[in-house]
Amino acid sequence: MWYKRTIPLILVFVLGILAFTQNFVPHPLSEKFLKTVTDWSRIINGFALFLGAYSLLHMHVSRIRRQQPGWAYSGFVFIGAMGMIILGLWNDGVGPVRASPDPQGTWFNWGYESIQVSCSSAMFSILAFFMASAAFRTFRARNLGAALLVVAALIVMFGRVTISETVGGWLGRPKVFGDIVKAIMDYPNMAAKRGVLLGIALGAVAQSLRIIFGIERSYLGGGD
Amino acid sequence: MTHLKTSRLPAIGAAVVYILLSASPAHAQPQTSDARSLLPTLLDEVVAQMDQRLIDAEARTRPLLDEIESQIELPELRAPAAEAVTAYDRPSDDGSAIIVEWLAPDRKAELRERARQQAVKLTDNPTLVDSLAAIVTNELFVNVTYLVQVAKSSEDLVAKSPEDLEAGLFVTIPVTPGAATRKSGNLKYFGLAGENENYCYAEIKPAEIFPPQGPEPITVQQVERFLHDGWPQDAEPSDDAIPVAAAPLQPLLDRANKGYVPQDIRDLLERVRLYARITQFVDEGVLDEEDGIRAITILVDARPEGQLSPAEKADRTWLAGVKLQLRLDRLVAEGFLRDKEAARVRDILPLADQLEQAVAEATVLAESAKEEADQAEQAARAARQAAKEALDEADDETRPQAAEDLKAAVADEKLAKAETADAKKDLLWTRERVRRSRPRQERRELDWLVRLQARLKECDDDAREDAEREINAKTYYFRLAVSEGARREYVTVDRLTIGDEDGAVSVDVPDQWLVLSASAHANAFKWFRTNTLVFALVFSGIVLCFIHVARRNPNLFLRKIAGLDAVEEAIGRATEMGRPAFYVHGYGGPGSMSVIAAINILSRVARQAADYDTRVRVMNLDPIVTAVSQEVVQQAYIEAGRPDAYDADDVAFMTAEQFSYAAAVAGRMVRERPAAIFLMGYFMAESLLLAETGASTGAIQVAGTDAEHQLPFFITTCDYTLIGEELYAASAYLSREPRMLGSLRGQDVGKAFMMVAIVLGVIVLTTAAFFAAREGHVAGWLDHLAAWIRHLFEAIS
Repeated sequence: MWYKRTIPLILVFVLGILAFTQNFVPHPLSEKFLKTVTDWSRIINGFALFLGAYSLLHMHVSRIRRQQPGWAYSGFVFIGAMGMIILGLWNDGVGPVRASPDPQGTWFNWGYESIQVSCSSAMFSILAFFMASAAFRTFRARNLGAALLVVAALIVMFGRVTISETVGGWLGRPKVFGDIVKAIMDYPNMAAKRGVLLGIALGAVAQSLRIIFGIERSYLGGGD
Repeated sequence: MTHLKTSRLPAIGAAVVYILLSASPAHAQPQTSDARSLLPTLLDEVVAQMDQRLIDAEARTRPLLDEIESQIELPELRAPAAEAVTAYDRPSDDGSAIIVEWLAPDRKAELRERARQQAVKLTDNPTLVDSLAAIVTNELFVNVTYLVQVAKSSEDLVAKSPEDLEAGLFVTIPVTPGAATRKSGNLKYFGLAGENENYCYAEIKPAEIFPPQGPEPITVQQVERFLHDGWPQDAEPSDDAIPVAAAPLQPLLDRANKGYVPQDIRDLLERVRLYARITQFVDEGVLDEEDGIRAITILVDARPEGQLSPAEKADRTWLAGVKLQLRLDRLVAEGFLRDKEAARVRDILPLADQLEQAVAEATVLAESAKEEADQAEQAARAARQAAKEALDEADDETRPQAAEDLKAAVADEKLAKAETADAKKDLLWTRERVRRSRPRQERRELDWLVRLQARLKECDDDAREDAEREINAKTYYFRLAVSEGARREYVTVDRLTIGDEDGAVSVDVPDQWLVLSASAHANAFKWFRTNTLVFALVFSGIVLCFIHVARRNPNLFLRKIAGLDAVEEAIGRATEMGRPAFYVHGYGGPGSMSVIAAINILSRVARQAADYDTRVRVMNLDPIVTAVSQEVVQQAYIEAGRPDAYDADDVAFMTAEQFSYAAAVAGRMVRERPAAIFLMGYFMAESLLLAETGASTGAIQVAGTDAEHQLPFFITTCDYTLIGEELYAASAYLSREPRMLGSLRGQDVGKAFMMVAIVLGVIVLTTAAFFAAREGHVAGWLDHLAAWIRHLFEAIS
């Protein structure tokens, strides 16, 4: 228990207090401490990637071995991972071509640009449809609060498009909808957002105290 | 058009009628051109009318303005009072700056007041008086420039004559009063308050003004040799060399060795220093003569990198290699390199030079190819435009052929564009292409050299930082002058104190320049963050106090949080349905507070799931979070007495890419159809992708995040949402452990304090603003209270 509980708690306490103090101390030593800790964090992250890779591959090996439903998808993980590793290592990413006329056109880069980036873009673009469906579900005025939300949302959406200026022009003030949108965003919206942010700040301080003083230990595993 | 006022609608209506009329056969003009030209004509008329009004107003007021301007006396150029000038260490910093600050006379306000006094004599209309005063002030006001002169020795500033001063044994920093400089560094203003605008402020960073220099001073002999035989026969001296050749050498070098020369001269002298070393090494036989001449040829060219041809850039890189070669012995002596490594560097440097030459040649070819491709693309574009015009003008007989021509021209243009893109890419990747064409062993050697140079640069940077710290810590001397055009007024004193503290003697010295001294120190505390520290300590005290209270009285009342009460319900549902629960950590890493909170909640969720024998699948984006989550879940199973039920594959790293993660998790949601989904942590754009997919599977969803921009998406798509602070409170709430609940109560008390402070602040600031608007001034105590409240809540970085 000493090395699994006590040492981590001592480390958390000491480093927590040091990190808090560092925020108020401009001395070069303090800045050096911050830089050292940040560097170490990067180094640990680098090594942790091996753990992550092991976890990923182990899970998919198990899925294939146990023939769980959808185990064939796990095969794509190995095809993708091994394919990219081989291409990356084979002739510095050039692949079977000894001297590529265009290094950007290496097989490794092709794999990244044409598969990974394209698929990520596709996922991101799906967001537009999900937003539409989520908005459709939300914009049903079931009670007074929801009705207010719908009205505010419609005004904000309308005020953000250029046609609102034309309609405002007919009413004598082209910017009227823009001004209403600005008022909604600057006052009720901003007030609510800042309320949430203040709560988050206080919550973060309370959580930090619980962790620094060892009251909250669940991140070490276990519930006490 | 949308900006036109309704009063202009009749005019637009008339324009429309005119356009319709002009479209009739009686009008020969094409209607489209009329429609396009009429509205701008109307707008031009409106603008012209407004201009005419301005001209009329100017004509009416010009005599008055001329009268005032002829009578007014401009504020004289005067330096700030000596007692209002201070120099001090910049507070709460790392010891890198000194502040020179002075109370600057507000000449603009003075001029405006004088203009007002003259305007009052000409008119009784107060609005016109204000306008006239403002116009006259704008027309006559000329901003002054303050000159802060910085020296390393007080003797350099207490010069004997103006000629000595102009010789420049100091560095002059001009400061123009403006938004960036009208402030005070004094802590009582917290750097921000309105009162500090009476001050002018110059931040002096000694290490930037007097950067670290070479170890040995430059001698006249070195410069003379540089001038005498440094120029190769076929090289013209650059313009930068002229100040050295023209200036009296010894005084210039004295100034340079003290650091009192501008950057360009300093760079030039640095080249002289390097030249001296190169010639020394040539004399000693370390460098052969051919290389020495080549190095000197490169050295005299002072053009910036952007103006160099590829071959000249290669030469610069080679020179960097030569510099490294000249340092090798010293690096070996310092222990930075071993003898074998130094020999390896010597072997690789020629290879690096060959590579650079090859890159330069290939770059020239690639640039030429790109230029040709650009020209071909332009020609193809012109051909396509010509083909299009030909098609527009073609009759029925020639139209098919013109269409074919256009099709062919479009295809040619597309091809030309592709070739341009290829040429551009080729140019961009020239270096890498050439590098890859070298043998593998050679590439390895070159890569090693690059790494060595990077390591060396890091060490040099460290050494430079040490030298800068040493420079910053010295005492510097300052003198202040105000300047307008050629006129200059120094801040002066009539008495000087000479001697140390014990035997100080004051002597009368009329009009002696005021010389102040200060040095920078590394401070131990950021005083301007006192308010943050006080808040942090007070709030921490409140939380710790309630933790203590909770230990004595565990029955504290806490408001119910529906989202957390739903956790047990969600796990129960998963148990009943015999399906797993998904726990998604989101995009945050181990340093994110929300992810730490999420791990704490995971501990509770995993424990309940272990008790109910339900699987919890945790999906991670960060490998460290994965490792911690595995430990947490395993421990939960152990504590539930079911260690064998833990499966490490349930807590898996999915991927480190944001949208790959979203795809992986969404895919598993659809395939495995979990009964409950917990989305806890920090989320970005993937939030809606995950939550909407989860909603489509029919799972009960509980989300919690402190990313306020993502909260609306979760509120829309999830059954329960923990908003901001509720996420942090969740672990304590679920544990029901008295000490943790005490911290929640402390958190609520902190919030109550904030609410009271905000309400009081709003009342005080509104009252102050009300009195300021109605009576033109605010009672002193109210003004101070308002300023204090503003300071209290200002977060200063």
